[in-house]
Amino acid sequence: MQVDTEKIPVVAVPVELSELNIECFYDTLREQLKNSPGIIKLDCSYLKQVASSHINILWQAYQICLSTETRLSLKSPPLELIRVIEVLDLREFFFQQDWQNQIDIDKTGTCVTSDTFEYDIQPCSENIPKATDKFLDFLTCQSVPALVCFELRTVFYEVMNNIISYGDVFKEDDIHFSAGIDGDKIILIFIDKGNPFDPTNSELNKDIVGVAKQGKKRGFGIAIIRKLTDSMKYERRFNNTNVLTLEKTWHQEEGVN
Amino acid sequence: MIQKALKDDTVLINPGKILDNSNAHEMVDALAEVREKGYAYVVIDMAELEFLSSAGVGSILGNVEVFREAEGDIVLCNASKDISHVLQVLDLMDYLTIKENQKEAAAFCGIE
Repeated sequence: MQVDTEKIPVVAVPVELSELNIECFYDTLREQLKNSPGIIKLDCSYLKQVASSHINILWQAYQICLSTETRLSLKSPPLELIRVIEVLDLREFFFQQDWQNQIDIDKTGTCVTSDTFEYDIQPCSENIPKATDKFLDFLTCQSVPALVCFELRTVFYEVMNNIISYGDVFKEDDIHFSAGIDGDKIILIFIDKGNPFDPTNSELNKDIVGVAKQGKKRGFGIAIIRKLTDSMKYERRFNNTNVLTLEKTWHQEEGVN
Repeated sequence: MIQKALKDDTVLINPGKILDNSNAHEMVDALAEVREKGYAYVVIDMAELEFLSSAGVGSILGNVEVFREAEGDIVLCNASKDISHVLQVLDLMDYLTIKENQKEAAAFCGIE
């Protein structure tokens, strides 16, 4: 997925649905789409009451974005809107990420968008792309800069692939992945029940060019993970689980650390 | 991998959208085939490439010295900002031969 490195454009959904406001909304949306942003957010934070016409213009906006291969995301949808979308069975169009992981409803009924992501993946290489897509959806919804998203996608792929390919994990033992964002910092945690392997002690590929000159074609994964993250911690727990914790920070303006 | 001869000693390879653990062996096989056929230069056009894993990096890296020892090279071109960034983070920008576009890559290989 190519995402513009500029800030994701946001278009406010009109509260009052006059003909003029609706026309202005579509014009603004189309104007933003001319820049091929890759993803666009519709700001729903001002919607106090949701009318059927709101759903109609959201659907029209979705169609417009679809025609330009642009992903559409809803920013700060009110609880009422979420419920209507769910009742109409439209959540797969507006909430492409894992539904339960992204939207939490606290005791007062206020919708709270979670800044954590959790996902269990069956240890099979074919499952990595789908898991990656869900992780990327989470990152883009959290306004993580595009370049950082690409780096994290790469890290996620390399760790998952190493666990699945070399960890001898039983098919019944899912790999548990969680990610938590705090401002411009993310913590990734991978938990699996495979063979013990401490990547922090690995001498593999510290000098990538040196290894390349020897004609080696494999084994660069850990080097990539190290280079694209700020810290790596490994722990082998008493119940024979591996816990790999990675941290990464970035500058919001620059997009990278 | 799509291959196309640009000149007697130069061939163009298009790796497609993804070069990862699922298809990196195809790149290895393609480069071996190109070498056996006697091509000195390989231009890898990354215009469509959206993702490059460590296996993809390795499939290219592991063959660079072979082509250079035969007085040729592997030349990358049209890499996206994301792909270029990863190569830069891996300190490979100085080691690999990377050109902006296919025309510059062809010129490096002696094609006018």
